[in-house]
Amino acid sequence: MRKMGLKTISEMAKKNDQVIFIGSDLGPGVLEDLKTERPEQFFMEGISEAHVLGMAAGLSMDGHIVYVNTIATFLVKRSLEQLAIDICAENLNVRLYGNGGGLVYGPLGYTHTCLDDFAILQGLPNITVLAPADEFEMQALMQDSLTHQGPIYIRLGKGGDPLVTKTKNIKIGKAQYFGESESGDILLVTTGIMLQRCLDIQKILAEKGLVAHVLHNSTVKPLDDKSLEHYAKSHKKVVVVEEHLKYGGLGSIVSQTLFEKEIFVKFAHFHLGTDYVHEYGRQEELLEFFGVTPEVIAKKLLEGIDG
Amino acid sequence: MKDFQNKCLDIRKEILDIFIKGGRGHLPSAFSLVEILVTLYYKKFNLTPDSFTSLDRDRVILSKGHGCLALYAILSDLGFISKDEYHKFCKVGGILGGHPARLKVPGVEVSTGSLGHGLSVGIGMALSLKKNQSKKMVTVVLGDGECNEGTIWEAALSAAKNRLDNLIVLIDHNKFQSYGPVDEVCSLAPFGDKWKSFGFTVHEVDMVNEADSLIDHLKTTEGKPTAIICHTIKGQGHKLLEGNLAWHHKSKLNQSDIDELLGGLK
Repeated sequence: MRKMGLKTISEMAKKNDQVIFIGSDLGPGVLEDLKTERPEQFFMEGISEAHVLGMAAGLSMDGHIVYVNTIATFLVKRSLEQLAIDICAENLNVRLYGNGGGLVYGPLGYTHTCLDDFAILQGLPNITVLAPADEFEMQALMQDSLTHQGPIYIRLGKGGDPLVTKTKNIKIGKAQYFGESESGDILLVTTGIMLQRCLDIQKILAEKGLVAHVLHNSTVKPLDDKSLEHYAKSHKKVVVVEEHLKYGGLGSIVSQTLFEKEIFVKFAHFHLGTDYVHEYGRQEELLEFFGVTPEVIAKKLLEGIDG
Repeated sequence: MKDFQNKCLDIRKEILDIFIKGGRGHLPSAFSLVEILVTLYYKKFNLTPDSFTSLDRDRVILSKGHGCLALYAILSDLGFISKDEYHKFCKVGGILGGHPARLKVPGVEVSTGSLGHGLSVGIGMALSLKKNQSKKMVTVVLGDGECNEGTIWEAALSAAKNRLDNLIVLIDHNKFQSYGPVDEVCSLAPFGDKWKSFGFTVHEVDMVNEADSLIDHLKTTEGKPTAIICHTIKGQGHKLLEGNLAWHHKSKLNQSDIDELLGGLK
């Protein structure tokens, strides 16, 4: 997923000299081709995230479309004020390409995992928040990002994630529905790499006679509330599954949206709790630690346990 | 020299006019900036409302945004903004706020207020000018207290690394920050050596006695950014304000304050 996104940025930059790439201190050889062919569009600025976002703002004020890449949690928290004031307040075309969203950097501990990005970015004006599920979706969203007006944050999975998204009609701001029919017992609402898990939950529940469908929001902000409204009305229960802390993420946005639209449906939320992760382990192992696996969630839903 | 001094005096009168009409503001921080900004806007560059229609223009970024009264006075004098705005300074419906906003005030290059932002944004613009093969220049005016911020030094590393010889940093070194003397709150010494060690060509200018010479230092060295430490006095040019910390930010003015302000210009 990460490589596909970078490749897409590089291709876009070679076609459009207004596209700029800035990394902080990435792995050796990242976008070597762009650095060689278009050195004026490639910057590796060192471990200075706050400065990098200010610099990106300055380039963007002069009409550039700037893709900034480093570890997600540093982009969101280390440089939060530059993001808020220099970029979001002025609706600039800066794209934050955040490596290791969620629990990807689980072995490295809570300094590197990023479980609160949706919550932090919800409060900022103008910024669009994306969490693609796989590299197909990443490529489509990155291409769409080129002409999008305003800042974008892109939360990245670890790479090598199974390909599960449909290949057509992937657009910023548009949710994808995975279901044979319009109505059912459970609407699983999700984002990012939890889509794969929700599709597995769907299968397990089907074996037990429950009809579940999945509404995947690769755009977390602004939420495709029309799709949510449409499908929530035709299901008995809405279940949000996300790789994020309880508050401020997709669960908060979905529940607020449902309440505002007076859709009083049953609701459940599977999330990572309210604290940073104090255990170490691979993403899969930590999801298991938090009980956010298809088997555990399906079992709880069958038993009527909501979260 | 006489013209320069007269222009500085006129700008200080204009600053007082905005301050008194608005009833608040960071007055001493604006007064220490006057000679620096007058040099940039009237002697070095020719920035007009028309020049802002092109990206190929020189840039003045007031990173110490709380000194904006001086910037507003100059932008008004140059025809960017109307004096009708003075009454609405810091008020609902006005465009002139306690810190300058790019999207509201014509002529403001970067919205500032939170310290430590302007230099990084200026570096982005300097890179953009170079990419467009422009010969124009980016100047960023910092406060000395602002140099406590870590991002200033991240940006300084980046300016040297990118060999930004179209970037000049001017530091309004008025020796005071909000709580007290810079030397006591968070010393910057040896200030010039710090900038030198970060890869800048460094000049120091006595802006009290030899302000007219600043223009001679607004030149760049090939392959290197430049920093100019401008030795000023907080509240410079006003008997009441010079060295008077009580005036750092004032919001409740009475008639005797106003009388003293109007009578105190040097």
